[in-house]
Amino acid sequence: MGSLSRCILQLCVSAALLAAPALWAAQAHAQDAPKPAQQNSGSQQAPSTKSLSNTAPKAILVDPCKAKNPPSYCGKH
Amino acid sequence: MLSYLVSMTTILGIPVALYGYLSAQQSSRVDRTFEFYKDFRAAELQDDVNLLVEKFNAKADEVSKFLANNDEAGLTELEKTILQDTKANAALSRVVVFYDAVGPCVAHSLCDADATVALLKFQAQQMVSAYGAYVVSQQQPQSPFGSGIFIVNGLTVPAKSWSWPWSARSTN
Repeated sequence: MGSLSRCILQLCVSAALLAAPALWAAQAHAQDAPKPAQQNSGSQQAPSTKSLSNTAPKAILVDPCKAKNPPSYCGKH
Repeated sequence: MLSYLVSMTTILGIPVALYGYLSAQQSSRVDRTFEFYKDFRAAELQDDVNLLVEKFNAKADEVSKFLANNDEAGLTELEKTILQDTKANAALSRVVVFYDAVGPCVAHSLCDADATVALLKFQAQQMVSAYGAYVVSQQQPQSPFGSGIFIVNGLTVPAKSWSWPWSARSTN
């Protein structure tokens, strides 16, 4: 009887140890899955009226931090 | 036989679970950074950055002269002059306050540094280059104001190599 209960206990422990990472990974995978897009009362988002030239990031022409002697604040972190 | 199985499962299960945990942490850091990027787009901060860049570019000749003479004080004064325009000043305030949330998030490994470099560094770099002197002049000794934009600007471009999920990159 003692050996049977020990055998059952070992089976349970090993099953739990096998199942825990699998369940954990499954939960993490479910969290990563993309959520369905919400319906906005049946209407689509209005297209932006901005042109590409207005929305695209602009770059500065003369970059002080790329000068030969950059100002002290350029190295600030 | 069962005891071997238990031992092997323990030996294999713990690293697998640990790897899964750390991967999930990394994933949540990337998600958090992407939320910031969505806020950046939603709040139309790109328009603010573009306005500030245009204002700075309009003074490119003067900037070049100050740089040639190594005149940092002159550059600071020029930035102050540009920011006397209320629209430009308000735009810079919005951008700096936004980065004051992003910077500490990355510095404390709550946000992902690589994702921040990919999504938000360019704009921070532009603002530091153009208005860094002014932001520094507005900083107070005990206040974190304006520190975030410098943290993001100081992030380095990620090396193109596979890394462990727990190897969070430093912020310099």
